[in-house]
Amino acid sequence: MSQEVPIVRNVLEANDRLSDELNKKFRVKKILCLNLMSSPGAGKTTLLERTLTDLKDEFRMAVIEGDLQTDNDAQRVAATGAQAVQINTEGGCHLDSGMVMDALKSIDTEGLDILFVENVGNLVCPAEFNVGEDYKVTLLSVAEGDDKPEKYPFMFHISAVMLLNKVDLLPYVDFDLDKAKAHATKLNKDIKVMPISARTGENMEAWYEWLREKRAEKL
Amino acid sequence: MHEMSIVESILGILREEMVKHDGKRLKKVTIRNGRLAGVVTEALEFAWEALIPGGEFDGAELEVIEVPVKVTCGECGEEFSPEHNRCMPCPKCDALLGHKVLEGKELLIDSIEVDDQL
Ligand SMILES: [Zn+2]
Repeated sequence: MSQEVPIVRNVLEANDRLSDELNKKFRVKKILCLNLMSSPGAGKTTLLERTLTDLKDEFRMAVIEGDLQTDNDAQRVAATGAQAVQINTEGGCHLDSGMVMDALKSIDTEGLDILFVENVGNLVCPAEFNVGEDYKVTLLSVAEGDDKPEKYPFMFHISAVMLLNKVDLLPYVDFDLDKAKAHATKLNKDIKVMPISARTGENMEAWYEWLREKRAEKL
Repeated sequence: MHEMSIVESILGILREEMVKHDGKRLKKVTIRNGRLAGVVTEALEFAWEALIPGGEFDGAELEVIEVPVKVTCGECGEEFSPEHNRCMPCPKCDALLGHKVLEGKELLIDSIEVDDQL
C-alpha cells in the first residue's frame, strides 16, 4: 500500500548539524573560527598573509583554503609559517561543514588559537552553508562597487564584520565609503565596518583588535 | 553549482524518513524551493537524475514546487510580492532596503510518498 507522508524538513539541516558539531569542538578547544567570504579578487589571500605574519608571535593560526585562484595561494599562506590545508571543491561554489571536518583531520588543533576558513569566491552560496564558524567575515574591495551590499543582502545580513579592502585605491575608483557602510548597516545594524588596506597595512590594527577581542571571549 | 550536495542532503533525510515510516520503496518526494533559496530547480532536477539511478531510490519521482517571495516593507510594513529577487521597491512607500522576508527563503522537503512493498 502506498501512502503520502508530510515531513517538512529543512534540506540544509544535515549541514547545520555538522556545523553545530564543529562549533562545539571549537568551543572545547577554545579555537576562534572565522568564515571568510568575498567575491573573487577582493584580496582574501593578501589579508590572510598579512594577518598571519603580523600576529605570528601572538597567536597560533591555521587556514583551511577553499578558494584557490592560483596554485600560489596556499604557498603564500604557508610561507607565513601558519598551517594551511587546501580543499578541492571540484568546481563547487561553497564550502560545507563536511569538507571542513575532513580538512581538520590534517590540522594539528592542539594549542591552536584561530582558524580561518577561506571560502570560495562567491557572495551567494557560501552565505547559506555554515561551517562551524563563530563569525562570518565578508571582505569587499573598493574596486568592486559600493552597491554590493544592496545586491547581496543576505551575505551582509549574517556577517559580523565587513572589511572594506583596498582603501589605498579610493582616489582612483568610484566608491562611496559612506554609502556602502549605510547599506550594510541598514541590512544589519550590528555589522562592524572596517576600511582597510591589506596591501599597505592601513588600519589593519582595527581588525587585529577585533580578532583579539573575539579570541579572548572564547577563553 | 551546489545542487549536487543539496541532493546528497536530501537523500540523507529521505533515508531517515524511510526508516521512520517503515517504507520499502520511495515513490515520490516533494520539495518546496523558495525563489530566494539560491537553488535552481532545473539544476536540482538534473542532480537528482544523475544521482538516483541504480541506488536505493531508483525510480522515485522528484517534484519541485517553486515558492514565490513575500516580504514586509522595512519602512511602512506593507506586505508584498516583489517582481525581482534583488531589487524590491515597496509599492506603497518605495523603500528599497530593510524588508523582512516572510516566504521564499525556504528549501524544504514537504512530503514523501512511500510504498510498504518493493
Ligand atoms: Zn513601504
